Amino acid sequence: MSKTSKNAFVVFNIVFFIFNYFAVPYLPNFLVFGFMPFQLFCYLAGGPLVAIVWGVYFTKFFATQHVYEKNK
Amino acid sequence: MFEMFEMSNTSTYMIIAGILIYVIFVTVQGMGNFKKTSGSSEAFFSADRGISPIVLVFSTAVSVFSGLTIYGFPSSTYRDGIGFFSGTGSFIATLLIVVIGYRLWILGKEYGFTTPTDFLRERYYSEGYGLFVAILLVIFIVPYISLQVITIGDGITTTTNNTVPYVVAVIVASLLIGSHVISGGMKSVAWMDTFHLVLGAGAVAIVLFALRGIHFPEGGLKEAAQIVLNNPDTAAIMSHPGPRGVYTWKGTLNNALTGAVATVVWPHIFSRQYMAKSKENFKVMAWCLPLVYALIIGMLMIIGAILAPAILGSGFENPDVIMPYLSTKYAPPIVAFISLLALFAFAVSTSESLLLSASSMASKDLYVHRKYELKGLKVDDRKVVKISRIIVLILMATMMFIVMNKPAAITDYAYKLSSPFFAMTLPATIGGLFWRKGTKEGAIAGTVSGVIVVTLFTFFIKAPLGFSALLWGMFVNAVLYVGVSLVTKVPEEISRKYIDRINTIISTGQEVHDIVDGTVKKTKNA
Repeated sequence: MSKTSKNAFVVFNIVFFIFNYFAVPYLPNFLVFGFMPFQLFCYLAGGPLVAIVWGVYFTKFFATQHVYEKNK
Repeated sequence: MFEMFEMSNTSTYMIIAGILIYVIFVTVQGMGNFKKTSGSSEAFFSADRGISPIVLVFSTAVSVFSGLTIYGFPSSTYRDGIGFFSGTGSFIATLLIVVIGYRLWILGKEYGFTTPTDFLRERYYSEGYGLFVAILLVIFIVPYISLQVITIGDGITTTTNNTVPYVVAVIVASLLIGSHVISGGMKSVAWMDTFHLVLGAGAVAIVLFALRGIHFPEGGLKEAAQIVLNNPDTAAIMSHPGPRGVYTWKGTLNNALTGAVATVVWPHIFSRQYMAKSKENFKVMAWCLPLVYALIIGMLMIIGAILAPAILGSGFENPDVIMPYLSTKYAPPIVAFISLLALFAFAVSTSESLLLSASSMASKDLYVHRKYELKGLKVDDRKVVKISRIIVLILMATMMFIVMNKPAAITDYAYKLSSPFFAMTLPATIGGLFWRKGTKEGAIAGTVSGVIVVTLFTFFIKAPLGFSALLWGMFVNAVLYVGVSLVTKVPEEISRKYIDRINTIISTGQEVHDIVDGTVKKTKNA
Protein backbone atom coordinates (compact mmCIF):
# COMPACT_ATOMS: atom_id res chain seq x y z
CA MET A 1 0.00 0.00 0.00
CA SER A 2 1.21 3.50 -0.73
CA LYS A 3 2.60 5.67 2.02
CA THR A 4 0.08 8.35 1.04
CA SER A 5 -2.90 6.10 1.71
CA LYS A 6 -1.40 4.94 5.03
CA ASN A 7 -0.82 8.53 6.10
CA ALA A 8 -4.29 9.57 4.99
CA PHE A 9 -5.74 6.69 7.00
CA VAL A 10 -3.87 7.75 10.12
CA VAL A 11 -4.93 11.38 9.68
CA PHE A 12 -8.56 10.37 9.16
CA ASN A 13 -8.58 8.38 12.40
CA ILE A 14 -6.93 11.13 14.41
CA VAL A 15 -9.46 13.67 13.14
CA PHE A 16 -12.36 11.27 13.67
CA PHE A 17 -11.53 10.48 17.29
CA ILE A 18 -10.64 14.05 18.21
CA PHE A 19 -13.94 15.18 16.72
CA ASN A 20 -15.92 12.55 18.64
CA TYR A 21 -14.19 12.93 22.00
CA PHE A 22 -13.62 16.68 22.08
CA ALA A 23 -15.90 18.40 19.59
CA VAL A 24 -19.25 16.58 19.64
CA PRO A 25 -20.00 17.57 23.28
CA TYR A 26 -19.93 21.20 22.15
CA LEU A 27 -21.82 21.00 18.86
CA PRO A 28 -25.22 22.67 18.51
CA ASN A 29 -27.97 20.25 19.42
CA PHE A 30 -31.17 20.23 17.35
CA LEU A 31 -33.36 17.27 16.47
CA VAL A 32 -32.63 15.08 13.47
CA PHE A 33 -35.50 13.02 12.00
CA GLY A 34 -37.71 14.76 14.56
CA PHE A 35 -36.46 12.79 17.57
CA MET A 36 -32.72 12.21 17.61
CA PRO A 37 -30.42 14.84 19.16
CA PHE A 38 -27.84 15.96 16.59
CA GLN A 39 -24.99 15.12 18.97
CA LEU A 40 -26.23 11.53 19.27
CA PHE A 41 -26.72 11.40 15.51
CA CYS A 42 -23.07 12.41 15.04
CA TYR A 43 -21.98 9.59 17.32
CA LEU A 44 -24.14 6.95 15.66
CA ALA A 45 -23.41 8.09 12.12
CA GLY A 46 -19.77 7.47 12.90
CA GLY A 47 -20.51 3.75 12.81
CA PRO A 48 -21.38 3.49 9.10
CA LEU A 49 -18.71 6.08 8.29
CA VAL A 50 -15.86 4.11 9.85
CA ALA A 51 -17.32 0.86 8.57
CA ILE A 52 -16.80 2.23 5.05
CA VAL A 53 -13.39 3.81 5.62
CA TRP A 54 -11.94 0.98 7.69
CA GLY A 55 -13.59 -1.61 5.46
CA VAL A 56 -12.02 -0.17 2.31
CA TYR A 57 -8.62 0.37 3.88
CA PHE A 58 -8.31 -3.04 5.45
CA THR A 59 -9.68 -4.80 2.39
CA LYS A 60 -6.82 -3.25 0.42
CA PHE A 61 -4.35 -3.97 3.22
CA PHE A 62 -5.27 -7.61 3.61
CA ALA A 63 -5.12 -8.08 -0.14
CA THR A 64 -1.36 -7.65 0.28
CA GLN A 65 -1.18 -10.27 3.00
CA HIS A 66 -0.67 -13.90 2.17
CA VAL A 67 -0.04 -15.32 5.63
CA TYR A 68 -1.17 -18.88 6.20
CA GLU A 69 -3.14 -19.06 3.02
CA LYS A 70 -1.74 -22.53 2.44
CA ASN A 71 -2.96 -23.77 5.88
CA LYS A 72 0.44 -24.26 7.45
CA MET B 1 -50.70 8.95 32.25
CA PHE B 2 -49.09 5.91 30.61
CA GLU B 3 -50.66 2.46 30.56
CA MET B 4 -49.22 0.12 33.14
CA PHE B 5 -49.35 -3.66 33.06
CA GLU B 6 -49.86 -6.18 35.81
CA MET B 7 -48.17 -9.55 35.72
CA SER B 8 -50.71 -12.30 36.30
CA ASN B 9 -49.77 -15.65 37.81
CA THR B 10 -50.32 -17.32 34.44
CA SER B 11 -47.94 -14.92 32.76
CA THR B 12 -45.36 -15.44 35.48
CA TYR B 13 -45.45 -19.22 35.06
CA MET B 14 -45.24 -18.91 31.31
CA ILE B 15 -42.15 -16.75 31.68
CA ILE B 16 -40.63 -19.35 34.00
CA ALA B 17 -41.41 -22.03 31.39
CA GLY B 18 -39.73 -19.89 28.76
CA ILE B 19 -36.64 -19.54 30.95
CA LEU B 20 -36.52 -23.33 31.36
CA ILE B 21 -36.78 -23.85 27.59
CA TYR B 22 -33.84 -21.48 27.10
CA VAL B 23 -31.81 -23.29 29.77
CA ILE B 24 -32.49 -26.70 28.21
CA PHE B 25 -31.64 -25.42 24.72
CA VAL B 26 -28.28 -23.98 25.81
CA THR B 27 -27.41 -27.08 27.85
CA VAL B 28 -28.21 -29.53 25.04
CA GLN B 29 -26.28 -27.41 22.53
CA GLY B 30 -23.22 -27.52 24.76
CA MET B 31 -23.38 -31.27 25.29
CA GLY B 32 -23.18 -31.84 21.56
CA ASN B 33 -19.55 -30.65 21.59
CA PHE B 34 -18.35 -32.58 24.63
CA LYS B 35 -16.58 -35.38 22.78
CA LYS B 36 -15.23 -33.12 20.02
CA THR B 37 -13.38 -30.97 22.56
CA SER B 38 -12.27 -33.60 25.05
CA GLY B 39 -9.15 -34.67 23.25
CA SER B 40 -7.67 -31.34 22.26
CA SER B 41 -6.92 -28.26 24.28
CA GLU B 42 -6.77 -26.24 21.08
CA ALA B 43 -10.31 -27.35 20.27
CA PHE B 44 -11.47 -26.64 23.82
CA PHE B 45 -9.87 -23.22 24.24
CA SER B 46 -9.59 -21.88 20.69
CA ALA B 47 -12.11 -23.84 18.63
CA ASP B 48 -9.13 -25.23 16.64
CA ARG B 49 -8.26 -21.67 15.57
CA GLY B 50 -10.99 -22.05 13.01
CA ILE B 51 -13.68 -19.50 13.80
CA SER B 52 -15.14 -18.03 10.65
CA PRO B 53 -15.25 -14.23 10.09
CA ILE B 54 -18.89 -13.52 10.85
CA VAL B 55 -18.96 -15.84 13.87
CA LEU B 56 -15.87 -14.10 15.28
CA VAL B 57 -17.47 -10.67 14.80
CA PHE B 58 -20.68 -11.76 16.49
CA SER B 59 -18.81 -13.58 19.22
CA THR B 60 -16.60 -10.55 19.89
CA ALA B 61 -19.53 -8.14 19.92
CA VAL B 62 -21.72 -10.16 22.25
CA SER B 63 -18.79 -10.90 24.54
CA VAL B 64 -18.08 -7.18 24.84
CA PHE B 65 -21.77 -6.41 25.45
CA SER B 66 -22.49 -7.75 28.89
CA GLY B 67 -25.55 -7.69 31.13
CA LEU B 68 -24.25 -4.35 32.27
CA THR B 69 -24.54 -3.08 28.69
CA ILE B 70 -28.19 -3.90 28.25
CA TYR B 71 -29.10 -2.58 31.68
CA GLY B 72 -26.29 -0.06 31.99
CA PHE B 73 -26.65 1.88 28.74
CA PRO B 74 -30.30 2.83 29.21
CA SER B 75 -29.83 3.54 32.92
CA SER B 76 -26.64 5.58 32.55
CA THR B 77 -28.08 7.47 29.60
CA TYR B 78 -31.20 8.28 31.61
CA ARG B 79 -29.05 9.39 34.53
CA ASP B 80 -26.28 11.31 32.73
CA GLY B 81 -27.44 11.92 29.20
CA ILE B 82 -26.41 10.96 25.68
CA GLY B 83 -22.76 11.60 26.51
CA PHE B 84 -22.68 8.07 27.89
CA PHE B 85 -22.30 6.92 24.28
CA SER B 86 -18.63 7.72 24.80
CA GLY B 87 -18.40 4.36 26.55
CA THR B 88 -18.13 2.85 23.06
CA GLY B 89 -15.06 4.97 22.43
CA SER B 90 -16.61 5.79 19.06
CA PHE B 91 -15.89 2.27 17.83
CA ILE B 92 -12.18 2.45 18.63
CA ALA B 93 -12.25 -1.11 19.94
CA THR B 94 -12.75 -2.31 16.36
CA LEU B 95 -9.68 -0.51 15.09
CA LEU B 96 -7.55 -1.82 17.92
CA ILE B 97 -8.85 -5.36 17.52
CA VAL B 98 -8.00 -5.38 13.81
CA VAL B 99 -4.56 -3.77 14.13
CA ILE B 100 -3.45 -5.53 17.30
CA GLY B 101 -5.46 -8.68 16.80
CA TYR B 102 -3.92 -9.45 13.42
CA ARG B 103 -0.44 -9.44 14.92
CA LEU B 104 -1.59 -11.54 17.85
CA TRP B 105 -3.15 -13.99 15.43
CA ILE B 106 0.12 -14.36 13.49
CA LEU B 107 1.99 -14.84 16.79
CA GLY B 108 -0.53 -17.46 17.81
CA LYS B 109 0.04 -19.34 14.57
CA GLU B 110 3.82 -18.99 14.79
CA TYR B 111 4.30 -19.85 18.45
CA GLY B 112 1.11 -21.59 19.56
CA PHE B 113 -0.18 -18.87 21.90
CA THR B 114 -3.70 -19.27 23.24
CA THR B 115 -3.87 -16.89 26.22
CA PRO B 116 -2.84 -13.29 26.99
CA THR B 117 -0.26 -14.68 29.40
CA ASP B 118 1.37 -16.80 26.69
CA PHE B 119 2.23 -13.69 24.70
CA LEU B 120 3.19 -11.42 27.60
CA ARG B 121 5.32 -14.07 29.32
CA GLU B 122 7.22 -14.97 26.17
CA ARG B 123 7.56 -11.47 24.78
CA TYR B 124 8.89 -10.18 28.06
CA TYR B 125 10.98 -13.33 28.70
CA SER B 126 9.78 -13.39 32.30
CA GLU B 127 8.08 -16.24 34.13
CA GLY B 128 7.44 -13.84 37.02
CA TYR B 129 5.67 -11.31 34.83
CA GLY B 130 3.60 -14.05 33.23
CA LEU B 131 2.62 -15.40 36.64
CA PHE B 132 1.67 -11.93 37.89
CA VAL B 133 -0.51 -11.21 34.85
CA ALA B 134 -2.21 -14.61 34.97
CA ILE B 135 -3.06 -14.29 38.67
CA LEU B 136 -4.25 -10.69 38.25
CA LEU B 137 -6.50 -11.52 35.32
CA VAL B 138 -7.94 -14.73 36.80
CA ILE B 139 -8.69 -13.15 40.18
CA PHE B 140 -10.46 -10.15 38.70
CA ILE B 141 -12.41 -12.12 36.14
CA VAL B 142 -14.32 -13.70 39.05
CA PRO B 143 -16.03 -10.49 40.27
CA TYR B 144 -16.80 -9.47 36.70
CA ILE B 145 -18.60 -12.75 36.03
CA SER B 146 -20.25 -12.53 39.43
CA LEU B 147 -21.75 -9.17 38.52
CA GLN B 148 -23.21 -10.69 35.36
CA VAL B 149 -24.81 -13.49 37.34
CA ILE B 150 -26.12 -11.04 39.95
CA THR B 151 -27.65 -9.01 37.11
CA ILE B 152 -29.29 -12.14 35.72
CA GLY B 153 -30.59 -12.98 39.20
CA ASP B 154 -32.03 -9.51 39.69
CA GLY B 155 -33.53 -9.57 36.21
CA ILE B 156 -35.29 -12.89 36.80
CA THR B 157 -36.67 -11.91 40.21
CA THR B 158 -37.90 -8.54 38.90
CA THR B 159 -39.50 -10.07 35.82
CA THR B 160 -41.18 -12.92 37.72
CA ASN B 161 -42.26 -10.62 40.55
CA ASN B 162 -40.11 -12.52 43.03
CA THR B 163 -41.84 -15.82 42.22
CA VAL B 164 -38.40 -17.17 41.40
CA PRO B 165 -36.27 -16.35 44.43
CA TYR B 166 -32.93 -14.63 43.81
CA VAL B 167 -30.92 -17.57 45.20
CA VAL B 168 -32.60 -20.04 42.86
CA ALA B 169 -32.11 -17.71 39.89
CA VAL B 170 -28.38 -17.30 40.44
CA ILE B 171 -27.84 -21.00 41.10
CA VAL B 172 -29.55 -21.86 37.80
CA ALA B 173 -27.60 -19.15 35.96
CA SER B 174 -24.26 -20.30 37.44
CA LEU B 175 -24.94 -23.95 36.62
CA LEU B 176 -26.03 -23.07 33.10
CA ILE B 177 -22.93 -20.99 32.36
CA GLY B 178 -20.54 -23.46 33.97
CA SER B 179 -22.03 -26.56 32.38
CA HIS B 180 -22.11 -25.00 28.92
CA VAL B 181 -18.43 -24.09 29.14
CA ILE B 182 -17.45 -27.50 30.57
CA SER B 183 -19.37 -29.31 27.84
CA GLY B 184 -17.95 -27.79 24.71
CA GLY B 185 -15.45 -25.06 25.52
CA MET B 186 -15.02 -22.46 22.82
CA LYS B 187 -16.72 -24.57 20.18
CA SER B 188 -19.98 -24.33 22.11
CA VAL B 189 -19.43 -20.77 23.26
CA ALA B 190 -18.70 -19.37 19.78
CA TRP B 191 -21.76 -20.94 18.19
CA MET B 192 -23.97 -19.84 21.05
CA ASP B 193 -22.52 -16.31 20.85
CA THR B 194 -23.82 -16.04 17.29
CA PHE B 195 -27.26 -17.11 18.43
CA HIS B 196 -27.08 -14.79 21.44
CA LEU B 197 -26.20 -11.73 19.37
CA VAL B 198 -29.14 -12.25 17.05
CA LEU B 199 -31.39 -12.95 20.04
CA GLY B 200 -30.12 -9.95 21.99
CA ALA B 201 -30.36 -7.47 19.12
CA GLY B 202 -33.79 -8.75 18.14
CA ALA B 203 -35.03 -8.61 21.72
CA VAL B 204 -33.83 -5.03 22.26
CA ALA B 205 -35.52 -4.00 19.01
CA ILE B 206 -38.80 -5.62 20.10
CA VAL B 207 -38.68 -3.86 23.50
CA LEU B 208 -38.01 -0.50 21.81
CA PHE B 209 -40.77 -0.85 19.26
CA ALA B 210 -43.21 -2.23 21.84
CA LEU B 211 -42.70 0.71 24.20
CA ARG B 212 -42.94 3.16 21.31
CA GLY B 213 -46.03 1.47 19.85
CA ILE B 214 -47.90 1.12 23.14
CA HIS B 215 -47.24 4.56 24.62
CA PHE B 216 -46.75 6.78 21.56
CA PRO B 217 -48.92 5.15 18.88
CA GLU B 218 -49.62 8.38 17.02
CA GLY B 219 -46.51 10.50 17.31
CA GLY B 220 -43.92 7.78 17.82
CA LEU B 221 -40.43 8.77 18.88
CA LYS B 222 -41.04 12.38 17.77
CA GLU B 223 -43.79 12.71 20.35
CA ALA B 224 -41.65 11.09 23.02
CA ALA B 225 -38.71 13.38 22.23
CA GLN B 226 -40.92 16.47 22.51
CA ILE B 227 -42.15 15.33 25.93
CA VAL B 228 -38.56 14.96 27.10
CA LEU B 229 -37.49 18.34 25.70
CA ASN B 230 -40.54 20.16 27.05
CA ASN B 231 -39.80 18.98 30.61
CA PRO B 232 -36.98 21.12 32.02
CA ASP B 233 -36.03 18.26 34.36
CA THR B 234 -35.44 15.78 31.52
CA ALA B 235 -34.36 18.00 28.63
CA ALA B 236 -30.70 17.85 29.66
CA ILE B 237 -30.67 14.09 29.05
CA MET B 238 -30.73 14.77 25.32
CA SER B 239 -27.54 16.80 25.23
CA HIS B 240 -24.09 17.21 26.71
CA PRO B 241 -23.00 17.51 29.47
CA GLY B 242 -26.20 15.86 30.76
CA PRO B 243 -28.33 16.39 33.88
CA ARG B 244 -25.41 16.09 36.30
CA GLY B 245 -22.86 17.81 34.10
CA VAL B 246 -20.75 14.66 33.72
CA TYR B 247 -20.07 14.60 29.97
CA THR B 248 -17.82 17.50 29.28
CA TRP B 249 -14.81 16.55 27.15
CA LYS B 250 -13.10 15.17 30.29
CA GLY B 251 -16.02 12.97 31.17
CA THR B 252 -16.23 11.80 27.56
CA LEU B 253 -12.52 10.94 27.48
CA ASN B 254 -12.69 9.17 30.87
CA ASN B 255 -15.62 7.08 29.74
CA ALA B 256 -14.06 6.23 26.38
CA LEU B 257 -10.86 5.00 27.99
CA THR B 258 -12.64 3.08 30.70
CA GLY B 259 -15.24 1.51 28.49
CA ALA B 260 -13.59 1.05 25.15
CA VAL B 261 -9.90 1.63 24.59
CA ALA B 262 -8.82 -1.28 26.73
CA THR B 263 -11.45 -3.66 25.31
CA VAL B 264 -8.87 -5.37 23.11
CA VAL B 265 -6.89 -6.57 26.16
CA TRP B 266 -9.85 -7.85 28.13
CA PRO B 267 -8.84 -11.50 28.57
CA HIS B 268 -11.74 -13.01 26.63
CA ILE B 269 -11.36 -10.54 23.74
CA PHE B 270 -7.56 -10.92 23.69
CA SER B 271 -7.87 -14.70 23.39
CA ARG B 272 -10.36 -14.42 20.54
CA GLN B 273 -7.70 -12.97 18.27
CA TYR B 274 -5.91 -16.32 18.31
CA MET B 275 -9.05 -18.10 17.16
CA ALA B 276 -9.48 -16.49 13.75
CA LYS B 277 -9.58 -18.85 10.82
CA SER B 278 -7.70 -16.50 8.50
CA LYS B 279 -6.87 -12.87 7.77
CA GLU B 280 -10.43 -12.61 6.38
CA ASN B 281 -11.65 -12.48 9.97
CA PHE B 282 -9.93 -9.17 10.54
CA LYS B 283 -11.03 -7.76 7.21
CA VAL B 284 -14.68 -8.48 8.03
CA MET B 285 -14.25 -7.27 11.61
CA ALA B 286 -13.13 -3.85 10.33
CA TRP B 287 -16.46 -3.01 8.71
CA CYS B 288 -18.94 -5.28 10.47
CA LEU B 289 -18.21 -4.65 14.14
CA PRO B 290 -18.83 -0.86 14.02
CA LEU B 291 -22.21 -1.49 12.41
CA VAL B 292 -23.16 -4.01 15.11
CA TYR B 293 -22.10 -1.54 17.79
CA ALA B 294 -24.04 1.34 16.21
CA LEU B 295 -27.19 -0.75 15.86
CA ILE B 296 -27.34 -2.22 19.36
CA ILE B 297 -26.01 0.76 21.30
CA GLY B 298 -28.19 3.09 19.24
CA MET B 299 -31.32 1.21 20.26
CA LEU B 300 -30.32 1.11 23.92
CA MET B 301 -29.63 4.85 23.89
CA ILE B 302 -32.99 5.65 22.35
CA ILE B 303 -34.62 3.70 25.18
CA GLY B 304 -32.55 5.53 27.80
CA ALA B 305 -32.58 9.04 26.35
CA ILE B 306 -36.06 9.27 24.87
CA LEU B 307 -38.51 6.51 25.89
CA ALA B 308 -37.53 6.15 29.57
CA PRO B 309 -37.67 9.88 30.46
CA ALA B 310 -40.78 10.38 28.34
CA ILE B 311 -42.64 7.58 30.16
CA LEU B 312 -41.15 7.87 33.66
CA GLY B 313 -40.31 11.56 33.84
CA SER B 314 -37.29 12.68 35.82
CA GLY B 315 -36.07 11.43 39.18
CA PHE B 316 -36.92 7.75 38.77
CA GLU B 317 -35.69 6.29 42.05
CA ASN B 318 -33.72 3.33 40.76
CA PRO B 319 -32.30 4.03 37.30
CA ASP B 320 -30.17 0.86 37.45
CA VAL B 321 -33.29 -1.23 36.80
CA ILE B 322 -34.91 1.05 34.27
CA MET B 323 -34.82 -1.56 31.51
CA PRO B 324 -36.54 -4.39 33.41
CA TYR B 325 -38.87 -1.89 35.07
CA LEU B 326 -40.10 -0.49 31.75
CA SER B 327 -40.37 -3.99 30.30
CA THR B 328 -42.41 -5.38 33.19
CA LYS B 329 -44.56 -2.41 34.25
CA TYR B 330 -45.11 -0.60 30.96
CA ALA B 331 -45.32 -3.48 28.54
CA PRO B 332 -47.22 -6.78 28.35
CA PRO B 333 -45.62 -9.90 29.91
CA ILE B 334 -44.36 -11.20 26.55
CA VAL B 335 -42.20 -8.07 26.23
CA ALA B 336 -40.94 -8.56 29.77
CA PHE B 337 -39.88 -12.08 28.82
CA ILE B 338 -38.21 -10.88 25.63
CA SER B 339 -36.31 -8.26 27.61
CA LEU B 340 -35.14 -11.02 29.93
CA LEU B 341 -33.95 -13.02 26.91
CA ALA B 342 -31.89 -10.02 25.83
CA LEU B 343 -30.31 -9.93 29.28
CA PHE B 344 -29.55 -13.66 29.10
CA ALA B 345 -28.03 -13.22 25.66
CA PHE B 346 -25.58 -10.56 26.72
CA ALA B 347 -24.84 -11.66 30.28
CA VAL B 348 -24.51 -15.39 29.61
CA SER B 349 -22.26 -14.89 26.57
CA THR B 350 -19.89 -12.57 28.41
CA SER B 351 -19.83 -14.81 31.46
CA GLU B 352 -19.06 -17.92 29.41
CA SER B 353 -16.28 -16.22 27.52
CA LEU B 354 -14.68 -14.87 30.66
CA LEU B 355 -15.05 -18.20 32.49
CA LEU B 356 -13.37 -20.03 29.61
CA SER B 357 -10.62 -17.44 29.54
CA ALA B 358 -10.06 -17.74 33.28
CA SER B 359 -9.98 -21.52 33.14
CA SER B 360 -7.52 -21.51 30.23
CA MET B 361 -5.15 -19.20 32.09
CA ALA B 362 -5.54 -21.06 35.38
CA SER B 363 -5.07 -24.49 33.81
CA LYS B 364 -2.47 -23.73 31.15
CA ASP B 365 -0.54 -20.78 32.52
CA LEU B 366 -0.71 -21.44 36.25
CA TYR B 367 -0.87 -25.24 36.43
CA VAL B 368 0.33 -27.04 33.29
CA HIS B 369 3.07 -24.54 32.44
CA ARG B 370 4.52 -24.52 35.95
CA LYS B 371 4.05 -28.19 36.81
CA TYR B 372 5.00 -29.71 33.45
CA GLU B 373 6.36 -27.39 30.78
CA LEU B 374 8.92 -25.60 32.94
CA LYS B 375 10.30 -29.01 33.98
CA GLY B 376 10.47 -30.15 30.37
CA LEU B 377 7.69 -32.66 30.90
CA LYS B 378 5.01 -33.37 28.36
CA VAL B 379 1.36 -33.48 29.29
CA ASP B 380 -1.39 -35.24 27.41
CA ASP B 381 -3.87 -32.87 25.81
CA ARG B 382 -6.79 -34.85 27.20
CA LYS B 383 -5.42 -34.21 30.68
CA VAL B 384 -5.20 -30.47 29.99
CA VAL B 385 -8.86 -30.38 28.97
CA LYS B 386 -9.80 -32.42 32.05
CA ILE B 387 -7.90 -30.05 34.33
CA SER B 388 -9.59 -27.09 32.65
CA ARG B 389 -13.02 -28.55 33.24
CA ILE B 390 -12.22 -29.11 36.90
CA ILE B 391 -11.03 -25.51 37.18
CA VAL B 392 -14.27 -24.30 35.58
CA LEU B 393 -16.12 -26.25 38.30
CA ILE B 394 -14.02 -24.63 41.03
CA LEU B 395 -14.48 -21.14 39.58
CA MET B 396 -18.19 -21.76 39.16
CA ALA B 397 -18.54 -22.91 42.79
CA THR B 398 -16.61 -19.83 43.97
CA MET B 399 -18.80 -17.61 41.89
CA MET B 400 -21.99 -19.24 43.19
CA PHE B 401 -20.90 -18.67 46.75
CA ILE B 402 -20.18 -15.02 45.97
CA VAL B 403 -23.40 -14.27 44.10
CA MET B 404 -25.63 -16.04 46.61
CA ASN B 405 -24.28 -13.78 49.33
CA LYS B 406 -24.07 -10.74 47.05
CA PRO B 407 -21.53 -8.95 49.19
CA ALA B 408 -21.12 -5.24 48.71
CA ALA B 409 -17.41 -5.92 48.38
CA ILE B 410 -18.07 -7.38 44.96
CA THR B 411 -20.30 -4.70 43.56
CA ASP B 412 -18.61 -1.78 45.25
CA TYR B 413 -14.98 -2.82 45.24
CA ALA B 414 -13.81 -5.77 43.22
CA TYR B 415 -15.81 -5.02 40.10
CA LYS B 416 -14.56 -1.42 40.04
CA LEU B 417 -11.05 -2.83 39.72
CA SER B 418 -11.75 -5.54 37.12
CA SER B 419 -11.87 -3.46 33.96
CA PRO B 420 -9.10 -1.03 34.99
CA PHE B 421 -6.83 -3.92 35.99
CA PHE B 422 -7.42 -5.66 32.66
CA ALA B 423 -6.53 -2.35 31.02
CA MET B 424 -3.15 -2.24 32.78
CA THR B 425 -1.82 -4.84 30.34
CA LEU B 426 -2.50 -2.53 27.38
CA PRO B 427 0.79 -0.57 27.31
CA ALA B 428 2.84 -3.76 27.59
CA THR B 429 0.74 -5.42 24.89
CA ILE B 430 1.03 -2.56 22.41
CA GLY B 431 4.69 -2.05 23.20
CA GLY B 432 5.27 -5.77 22.98
CA LEU B 433 3.87 -5.89 19.47
CA PHE B 434 5.27 -2.71 17.96
CA TRP B 435 8.32 -1.54 19.93
CA ARG B 436 11.61 -3.40 19.77
CA LYS B 437 12.87 -1.74 22.91
CA GLY B 438 10.12 -2.80 25.29
CA THR B 439 11.86 -4.69 28.09
CA LYS B 440 10.87 -7.04 30.88
CA GLU B 441 11.78 -4.43 33.46
CA GLY B 442 9.67 -1.81 31.70
CA ALA B 443 6.65 -4.11 31.47
CA ILE B 444 6.87 -5.06 35.14
CA ALA B 445 7.37 -1.47 36.31
CA GLY B 446 4.54 -0.20 34.13
CA THR B 447 1.98 -2.85 34.92
CA VAL B 448 2.62 -3.00 38.67
CA SER B 449 2.65 0.78 39.05
CA GLY B 450 -0.55 1.06 37.02
CA VAL B 451 -2.27 -1.44 39.30
CA ILE B 452 -1.14 0.50 42.39
CA VAL B 453 -2.27 3.86 40.99
CA VAL B 454 -5.68 2.51 39.98
CA THR B 455 -6.20 1.03 43.46
CA LEU B 456 -5.07 4.25 45.14
CA PHE B 457 -7.31 6.53 43.11
CA THR B 458 -10.30 4.18 43.23
CA PHE B 459 -10.48 3.80 47.00
CA PHE B 460 -8.14 6.09 48.87
CA ILE B 461 -7.50 9.37 47.10
CA LYS B 462 -9.72 11.28 44.71
CA ALA B 463 -8.20 11.09 41.25
CA PRO B 464 -6.83 14.55 40.46
CA LEU B 465 -7.89 17.02 37.77
CA GLY B 466 -11.17 15.25 37.09
CA PHE B 467 -9.58 12.32 35.26
CA SER B 468 -10.46 8.75 36.15
CA ALA B 469 -8.35 6.28 38.13
CA LEU B 470 -7.97 4.20 34.98
CA LEU B 471 -6.65 7.14 32.99
CA TRP B 472 -4.08 7.97 35.66
CA GLY B 473 -3.12 4.31 35.97
CA MET B 474 -2.66 4.07 32.22
CA PHE B 475 -0.59 7.28 32.16
CA VAL B 476 1.78 6.22 34.94
CA ASN B 477 1.94 2.73 33.45
CA ALA B 478 2.91 4.01 30.00
CA VAL B 479 5.46 6.51 31.32
CA LEU B 480 7.20 3.89 33.44
CA TYR B 481 7.02 1.23 30.74
CA VAL B 482 8.73 3.52 28.24
CA GLY B 483 11.09 5.13 30.72
CA VAL B 484 12.35 1.94 32.31
CA SER B 485 12.58 0.18 28.93
CA LEU B 486 14.81 2.95 27.62
CA VAL B 487 17.35 2.39 30.39
CA THR B 488 17.31 -1.41 30.24
CA LYS B 489 18.13 -3.80 27.44
CA VAL B 490 16.00 -6.33 25.61
CA PRO B 491 17.71 -9.44 24.24
CA GLU B 492 18.15 -9.14 20.49
CA GLU B 493 16.62 -12.57 19.85
CA ILE B 494 13.40 -11.43 21.54
CA SER B 495 13.05 -8.38 19.32
CA ARG B 496 13.86 -10.48 16.26
CA LYS B 497 11.37 -13.18 17.18
CA TYR B 498 8.37 -11.10 18.21
CA ILE B 499 8.76 -7.82 16.34
CA ASP B 500 11.09 -8.12 13.33
CA ARG B 501 9.78 -11.47 12.17
CA ILE B 502 6.17 -10.34 12.37
CA ASN B 503 6.96 -7.02 10.67
CA THR B 504 8.66 -8.92 7.86
CA ILE B 505 5.73 -11.28 7.49
CA ILE B 506 3.32 -8.35 7.31
CA SER B 507 5.33 -6.08 5.07
CA THR B 508 6.64 -8.62 2.61
CA GLY B 509 4.18 -11.48 2.76
CA GLN B 510 4.61 -15.01 4.08
CA GLU B 511 6.20 -16.58 1.02
CA VAL B 512 8.93 -13.99 0.80
CA HIS B 513 9.66 -14.35 4.52
CA ASP B 514 10.00 -18.11 4.19
CA ILE B 515 12.31 -17.80 1.20
CA VAL B 516 14.55 -15.33 2.99
CA ASP B 517 14.47 -17.31 6.22
CA GLY B 518 15.28 -20.52 4.42
CA THR B 519 18.16 -18.94 2.51
CA VAL B 520 19.65 -17.48 5.68
CA LYS B 521 19.48 -20.88 7.39
CA LYS B 522 21.11 -22.62 4.42
CA THR B 523 23.90 -20.05 4.36
CA LYS B 524 24.52 -20.49 8.08
CA ASN B 525 24.63 -24.26 7.74
CA ALA B 526 26.95 -24.16 4.74
